[in-house]
Amino acid sequence: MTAARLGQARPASKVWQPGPLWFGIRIWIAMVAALYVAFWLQLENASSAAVTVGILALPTRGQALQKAAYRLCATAIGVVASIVIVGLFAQSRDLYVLAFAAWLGACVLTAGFLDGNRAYGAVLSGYTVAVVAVQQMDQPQAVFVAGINRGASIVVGIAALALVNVVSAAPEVGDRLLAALAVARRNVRALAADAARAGSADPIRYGQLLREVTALRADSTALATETLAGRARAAAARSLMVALVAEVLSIRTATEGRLADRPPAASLEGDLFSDAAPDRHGPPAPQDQQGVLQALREHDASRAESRSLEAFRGLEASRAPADAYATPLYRPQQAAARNGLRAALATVIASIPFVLGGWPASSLGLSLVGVTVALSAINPNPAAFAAGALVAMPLASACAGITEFVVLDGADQFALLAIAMAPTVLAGALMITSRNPRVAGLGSLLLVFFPVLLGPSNPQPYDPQAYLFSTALSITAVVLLYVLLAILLPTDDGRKRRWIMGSMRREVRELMAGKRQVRRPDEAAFRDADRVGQLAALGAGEARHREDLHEAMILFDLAAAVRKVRAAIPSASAQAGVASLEAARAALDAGDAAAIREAAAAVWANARRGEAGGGAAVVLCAGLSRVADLVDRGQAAGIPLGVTR
Amino acid sequence: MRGAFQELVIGGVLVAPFVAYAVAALLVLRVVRPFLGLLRFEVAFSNPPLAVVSLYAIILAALMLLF
Repeated sequence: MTAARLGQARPASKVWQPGPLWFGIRIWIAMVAALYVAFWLQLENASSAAVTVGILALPTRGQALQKAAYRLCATAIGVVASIVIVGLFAQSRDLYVLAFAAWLGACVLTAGFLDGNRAYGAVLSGYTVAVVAVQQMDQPQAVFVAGINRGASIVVGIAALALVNVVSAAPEVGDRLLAALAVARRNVRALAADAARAGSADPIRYGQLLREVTALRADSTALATETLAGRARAAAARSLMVALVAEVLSIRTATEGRLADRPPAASLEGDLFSDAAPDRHGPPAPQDQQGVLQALREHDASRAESRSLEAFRGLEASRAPADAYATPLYRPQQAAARNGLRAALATVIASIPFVLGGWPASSLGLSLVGVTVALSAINPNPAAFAAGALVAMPLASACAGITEFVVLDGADQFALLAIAMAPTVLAGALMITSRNPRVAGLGSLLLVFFPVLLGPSNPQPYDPQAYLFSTALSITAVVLLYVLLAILLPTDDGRKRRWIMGSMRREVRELMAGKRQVRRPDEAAFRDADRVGQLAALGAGEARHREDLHEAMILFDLAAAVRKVRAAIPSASAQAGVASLEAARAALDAGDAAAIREAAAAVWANARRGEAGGGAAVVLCAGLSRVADLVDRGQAAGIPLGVTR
Repeated sequence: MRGAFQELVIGGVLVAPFVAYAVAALLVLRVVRPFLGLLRFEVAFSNPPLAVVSLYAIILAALMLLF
């Protein structure tokens, strides 16, 4: 197989996709089953069971199960918070609303540090208060019963969807993740081949590749509950993602520092690796420093490739790795704080017209504002979410109205309700499977808002006035959401870019100053890769994008190189000499490229003189040389590293 | 075989008997899961998740029968 064929990315159509129509039918069956059981149990809030199915309408079983678990836990937390807020502030409406806004803001702030379904669970804790406490604002004594009924309906919805997914052999997130990681691995190999030919690669390509790998983290967290071997698969998936990031790093190290007049690594391997590998003994081969270091870098790249291959095979076999890794996230604190503050302020501001209106039914509108503000916060683009809600809410209202007053028109048979709901539910589910993210988002919102506005209950009231009021309040709520998100603490791509770049520069300065690291080097590199991936996802058309990604990749490399050096210093102490190690530490603290190179030369000289072998010292020398090169490149790119001379 | 059922009361709130059994069965399944993995339980079935759900139903029925 040629390198080009090895590196050829698998077409998206070959990657496993769920059948859209069958997915829609599963969701419809689950929604109908949930409603049936909720009616049979005479639950007061039976429509919540259908809403739960709509919210958990995800293509794979593992994702739905994980989201269901977080929904259950978050509902319990939200109900407890509702009871506390009602108990403390039932006599004072102003404080009631302020407490609700503060709780919602705190939950959205928490969600800002999480991803995937965990973030959803955090915001659900917040907007459960909106659904339970705010809607019972005029009947505080009913909060407990409302909370219990909501919890019961959610359990019924979860059980119905889980059973339908299991019986219908719904696709597993593990299979999808394996296919996606195989594609990512192929793309890494293609990048390696191209970088080896050209000596470097476009930073945008590196950024997109890192984004491709780190974006799979959310799916890997859903593996644990999906199958009996879920924990092992989840650990294997994490190890593979960490290995792929390490492979990208090693590719950059091997290709960017290469000197044109050097022979390929293979011709040096016999001389080099019998002596220079850290676990071998004997003096290093009598070769020049640059040749040895380049060969060592290419050897590292080869080892990284082997490591990712082994990790991939482990995932295929659902085998837990010997050394499990975590995949920490990067989340800008400023974004989380702004989201939390925005949610709280939006709730307070939205409550003013509703409270001034003095309309009892307006509690529905306020609770919907809270729900939609919270959900927008976990969306990568809240403004787009609000725009989608502006379309989805009227659409869901129209579907609910047609279903209730045209199709059903007073019917009281459950079978007719099930048939009448089918077109909207199927349409929403089909839209979710669309490749267009806007259409998919619209489908998700339609599946959630439709049962809310239809409000199926036993018996169905068929009250046009109640329908008009709920529709009007719902549309008012999303209009308010759109306006408030546009004017309250908007977070544009430029701001996110500044936060990401600022945090990268700050952490590199701290690394060079010797700040103690709590994470393992590979895990820290994954977090850095997540940060670069988020940067790569911003403003692809902006002029600064390539420049920022170029700087981000230098910082990414520099952080990894400094960690490697700091880790190598203790093990090289016997070979490198105390004086040269102290010089290396001081040079790193100062961020002085020339001093770092001098320290590297001193380490190299000591390694060559040493009788016990210079393997660890050669590794340290390679690391110091790489750090010096990157500091020079950073200075040339104008990166403020706090370099002193 | 079945003894007198003791009502489950948490903070003055009466929990429905079925809910108590369902939660207990879930906990038992949670404890049994690692052993199922060691026994390669999933390999024996064409639809392993359905087999696990069936096992849960068996555990639930057994608890209701025995307690």
